[in-house]
Amino acid sequence: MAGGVLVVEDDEDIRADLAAILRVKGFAVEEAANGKEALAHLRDGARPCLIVLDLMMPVMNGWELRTAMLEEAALAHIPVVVVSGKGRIAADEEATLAPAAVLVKPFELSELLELVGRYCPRDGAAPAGR
Amino acid sequence: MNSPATIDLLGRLDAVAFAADKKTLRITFAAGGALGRLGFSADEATGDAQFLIKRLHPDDRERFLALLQGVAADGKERRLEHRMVSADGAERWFRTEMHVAQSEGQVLGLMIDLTDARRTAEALHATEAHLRQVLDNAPVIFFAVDKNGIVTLSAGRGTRALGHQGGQSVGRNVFELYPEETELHGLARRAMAGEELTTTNHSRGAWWDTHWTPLFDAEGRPDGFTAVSVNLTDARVAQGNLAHSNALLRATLEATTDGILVVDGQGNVVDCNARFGEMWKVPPELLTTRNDERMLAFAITQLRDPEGFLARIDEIYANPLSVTHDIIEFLDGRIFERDSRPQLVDGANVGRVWGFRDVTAERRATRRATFLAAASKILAGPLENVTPLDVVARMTVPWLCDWCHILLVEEDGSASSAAAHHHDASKIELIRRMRPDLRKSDRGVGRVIATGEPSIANDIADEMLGGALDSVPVSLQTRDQVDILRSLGLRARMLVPLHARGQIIGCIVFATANPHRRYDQDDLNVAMDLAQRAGLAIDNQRLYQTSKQAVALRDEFLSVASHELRTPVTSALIAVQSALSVGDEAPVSFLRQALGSAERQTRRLGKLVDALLDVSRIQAGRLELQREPLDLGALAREAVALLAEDARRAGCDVSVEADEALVGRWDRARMDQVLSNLLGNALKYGAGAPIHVSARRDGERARLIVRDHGIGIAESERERIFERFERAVSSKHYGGLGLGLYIVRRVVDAHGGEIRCESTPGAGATFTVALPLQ
Repeated sequence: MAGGVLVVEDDEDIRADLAAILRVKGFAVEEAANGKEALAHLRDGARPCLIVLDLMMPVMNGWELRTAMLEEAALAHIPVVVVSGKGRIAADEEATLAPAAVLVKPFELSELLELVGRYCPRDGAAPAGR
Repeated sequence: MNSPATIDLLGRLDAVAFAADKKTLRITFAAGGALGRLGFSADEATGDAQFLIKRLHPDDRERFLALLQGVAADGKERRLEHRMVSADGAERWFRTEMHVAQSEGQVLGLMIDLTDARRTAEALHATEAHLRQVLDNAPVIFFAVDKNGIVTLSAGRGTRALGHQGGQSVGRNVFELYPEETELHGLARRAMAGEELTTTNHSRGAWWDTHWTPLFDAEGRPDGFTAVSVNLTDARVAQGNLAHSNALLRATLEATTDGILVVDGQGNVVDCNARFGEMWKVPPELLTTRNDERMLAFAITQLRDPEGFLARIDEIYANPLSVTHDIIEFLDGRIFERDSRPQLVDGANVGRVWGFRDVTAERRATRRATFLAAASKILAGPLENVTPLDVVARMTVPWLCDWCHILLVEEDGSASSAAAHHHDASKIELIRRMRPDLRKSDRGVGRVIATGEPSIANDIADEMLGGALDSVPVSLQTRDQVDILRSLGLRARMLVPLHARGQIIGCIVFATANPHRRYDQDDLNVAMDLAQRAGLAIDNQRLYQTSKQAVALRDEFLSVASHELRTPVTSALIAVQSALSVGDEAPVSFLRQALGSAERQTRRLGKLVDALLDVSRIQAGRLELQREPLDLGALAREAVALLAEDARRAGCDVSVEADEALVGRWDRARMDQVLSNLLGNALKYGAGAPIHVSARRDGERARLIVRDHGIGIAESERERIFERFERAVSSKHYGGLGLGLYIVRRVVDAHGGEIRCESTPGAGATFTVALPLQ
């Protein structure tokens, strides 16, 4: 069964804020501070409905995680929303990353929520939205 | 008288005897051989003696009769010359003498036929006149002088030069005639004494060649002389003109800077000027042989293309009337222009004139200008995959040298080989092996680097490179390297310093194995010019690289900065939008979390902006310190306390060790910045391991140490991280403007302190700041 949203972000504030609002909006959320944590989580069997992936991170960055995922059949199909801190990403980079969508910082929260809503079911436990 | 014997006798005379009656004047008798001349017989004369009167020339008859009458009258002897008309009507001249015979009262006359004698005299006279005319028109002066010095003959056109017609001096004393010509008097006396002389003297504006011939009488005694003088003036003038022309030609030949050689049709050197000998370096003893073939054999040894030279000569001689103009190149680098043309005398080809002009200087000047222009163009243009030094090394071979080696001074004072070229590519590696020892500042490359003075060495012999390493005139490091130089056949070289960034950065070696090649000031000027242009190109390339790096750095910075600014903005935005998107029923904890994030991210944004402003201030030299008494230990503890939340988030334990009252005069806000930047880096790169901060007194200084156990910094990065926008880590892994350590160092510098970094990659880094307490 599909898991919740996996937020992979090294900035603790952003990660915590995103996790909090997604939970408030009724989504299940898992967090990882870098690619290495996320990959370990995925190899442990986690199958998130969507990964919200920051690109620039210490230890293992978004590109490295994405490359590793795409090399593993079990992980390659998991949809990924790439969050770019460096503006629009180049076409060849996008081809490598094969994202479901790209969000360019600073993005609108509503955009992210709409994307998450498209890929992930709300558990309905705490529907706190308007 | 009428006796047959008398008549017979008279008939044998070439005369006519006659008798006339004293009273009647009638001719009574006429006889004589001359009658026959008149065409009469003796009988005719006897029959009519009066016929003599009839045969008198009508014009002379009266004179004859008057004479006869006169003789008859007074009896005195008279004579006259008159004409008779012969039987055939011809005139004949006679001289007739008449006197009175004492016995018989008769006038006797004797007529002697003068006709033949007169004709002979007339012919003689005509001959003499003719000779006289010839003499008078001859360009000579002819004098005959007798033993008393009296002029007996003076003739010749030359006498006009003496101011009188020849005849006017005849009969006068030659010494009195020309009293001023004392030199001639002496010669005349010698001729009169019997001496035969030939003399040349200058007189009355002309040159005279005189032959004096003494005359002798029958007894062999001197009897005057003749003198024939020929006017040599015209010949002298012509000769003088010729000599003048020759002198002018010779002077012109010797004054010209061209070498000139004239060869006749038989291959003999007819003439050449001194310059020719100099230009072709022909030894004087060879020059004097005048042997064209030997001189040619000598000359071609100096040429770059002797076969081509000989072939060209054959071609020229095959076309005797050709006028040619071409170029000759010498092994020693000299270049002659050669002009060859036939020598024509009155249209006949008698030989060939060769002119040689040394155009080395102008040719080289043109080549130099062309070369330098080309070099400038190449060096000023974009240099792809090649350094300016490679360009220089390649361009100078072979026209300036056989090989070119460019050496650069390294930071440790050693020399490195930056570029090398040889026309024989197999020798390039040998050249690259040669390294001067720059400590040998008294010779070779070492000296050039030490003094900045270029140098030239010509006529280098193998033996000069044969001694001990310390005795050879090069600064190479090893005997092997000197041997390489020897194996390359070094004969001459130029060393030129290479300047860039306002200092000597190296030396260019231009060398040749050509024994004829000698470097001179012109070559050196080219080399220096080239070195200067190469230096400029190096500077330009460096500036280009620097500016390219600066642009790349700026782009990187803009990328990083935009990321760095986007992150807190995004974070704050998410927090605020989260808070706004939930309803009034949202838990307080959620709102607190969101607002906390918003606050932290906004502060972070503020710090980023401060850092950018600080960079601007530092760049503009406006980092001003507000010094005040400050306790560094207390400040360290405060900073650690302030970052406690960040430390927690980073998972790092931070411990502080600080001396009490570690007070100096520092800027509080700036020192706070130093501490927070160093601690921030320690947390960022600390990999969740413990961090230790210490602030201690160390003599006159305070020593602040921040030590982490994180990813560490590679040695190659340890200096660079203190530069603007520089970071030791990939921007794909870590954020940050790359300004923290830059600002830290500048603040520490402004306080008169210093900062250093020690690290073991993978095991952490230690930053130590030392600050003067006073």
